[in-house]
Amino acid sequence: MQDSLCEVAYHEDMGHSYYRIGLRTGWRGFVPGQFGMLEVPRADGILLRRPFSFARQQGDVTEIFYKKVGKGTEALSLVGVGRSLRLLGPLGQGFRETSSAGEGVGVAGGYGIAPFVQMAKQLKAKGRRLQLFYGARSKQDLFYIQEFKELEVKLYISTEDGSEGLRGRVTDLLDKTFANSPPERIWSCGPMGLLKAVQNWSQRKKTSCELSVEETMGCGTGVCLGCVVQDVQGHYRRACIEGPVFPGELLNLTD
Amino acid sequence: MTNLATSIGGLKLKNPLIAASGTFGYGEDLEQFFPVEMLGAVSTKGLSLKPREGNPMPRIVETPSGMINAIGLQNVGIEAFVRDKLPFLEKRGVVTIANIFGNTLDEYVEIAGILEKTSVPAVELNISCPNVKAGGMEFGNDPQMAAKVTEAVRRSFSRHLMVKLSPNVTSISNIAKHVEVAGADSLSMINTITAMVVNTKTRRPMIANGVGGLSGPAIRPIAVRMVAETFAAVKIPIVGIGGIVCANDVLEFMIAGSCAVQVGTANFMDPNACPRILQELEAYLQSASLASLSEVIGTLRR
Repeated sequence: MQDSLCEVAYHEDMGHSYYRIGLRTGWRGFVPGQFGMLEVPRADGILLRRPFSFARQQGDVTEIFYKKVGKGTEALSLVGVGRSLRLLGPLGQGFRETSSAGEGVGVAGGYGIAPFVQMAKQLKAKGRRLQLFYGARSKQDLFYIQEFKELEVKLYISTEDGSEGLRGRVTDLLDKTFANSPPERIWSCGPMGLLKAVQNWSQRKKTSCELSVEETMGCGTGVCLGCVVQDVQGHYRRACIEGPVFPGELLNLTD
Repeated sequence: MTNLATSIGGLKLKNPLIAASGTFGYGEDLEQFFPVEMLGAVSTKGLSLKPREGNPMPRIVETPSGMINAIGLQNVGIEAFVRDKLPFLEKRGVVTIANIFGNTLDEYVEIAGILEKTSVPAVELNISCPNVKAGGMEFGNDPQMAAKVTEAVRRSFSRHLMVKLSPNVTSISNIAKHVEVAGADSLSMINTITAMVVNTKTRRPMIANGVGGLSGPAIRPIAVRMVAETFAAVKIPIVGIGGIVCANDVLEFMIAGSCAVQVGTANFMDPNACPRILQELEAYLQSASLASLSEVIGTLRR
């Protein structure tokens, strides 16, 4: 983990408020699910860095996939290629590998797709395959489809409006696919509703899951205590240090 | 060789930068960025008699040039601090300021009594946390109550006693005077300012606790004014706090009358904020041809 000034290698507007930005970190890689605290231009009274999970490592460039949702991401979206931004990372605990040599199973919702790009790369490099259940609002909110095809990912898509794949929830796809025996473990990243659904599903099927939580973050280094998530014993745990990926059995998720 | 050394009454510091309570854990978290003993001192996360879980999420929200927090004093409790956290700080030779708070007068006294038996050279009395019910605020808002808790802790803790003042009062210098008379060795000021942000879609406050404490550069001018006002009213030393992010901010507070400062929110923005500010201070001393930084303390011209 380090804090360094990273040049913007590329910055693409993907449409519908989604962007991907490549930063020259010089890293060799990261664990899928790990994140970084990125300094965004301090316009308009912006104070804190913003947390983003990493999508993939290509050479010395680390890619972040993000959606413009507020002041910080708005300021970030205007940053041009060649500029440099401070990035602190890689931070936190990523997804743990499964012991079996078979297929890994991921469930992504919305921009929670990011860590699965690197996950697919890493599994493929080991001669394994990612089975990915990808839910989004509609067709235009689906990204990295081409990349997943190239990485030989077994892709199952659902959209809320039915404009692509199954109309409905991504857990419906899980029910269909794993009617008999559930996978050893499910990795999931997405909005709270999805994480809860995956947690419930895993509990019902008596299997384990790992959930990547999205929380407001102040520092990313464990000192502000602003990003906690409650465990089943009622203790608050820091998402930036002990997470953002937690064993599903550990968390007491609320809205 | 530049001289950044300063002292808060009898408490000697190698430089004026103190990590503010609640922004630096118990001194271990930012070890991978710089050695903690590089700091003048560390004020610990607020310590209570029993461990506390703190408030539900969301706990923080960014505001223009600042942030509001309502962590709710999540901490390991005094016992675990002394057993598990203090040895690290002792080993590293850090000047440790134990920030403490109680729900009652007796709790304050009990915690101070436990710390009296340790090596901790200083206690910072939090009588001003805005985020917990009965978490000190009632002591910090009333001059008589502030004096009473200071006096009580004074009797059970013999070393340096710093009292952290709340800005959420009509006259901070009046509280300061009462605390001085009650036996405080120094004042640290200011704690966060109570504040609220409303989500206009849900019409609910942006943090679960409703109100929280505003910190960061947004509050700096208020803090500097309060330090200047209090410097004119009391004789005990003042430690300035409020949105310090660079050497110039440190100088502002020192000129206004602070003999040291606490850096808080800046640690969230940049884990290397303190070492960077120290470098800037050294560069300033050289360019200003000052032998010692402490020469600027209380030199405000009117």
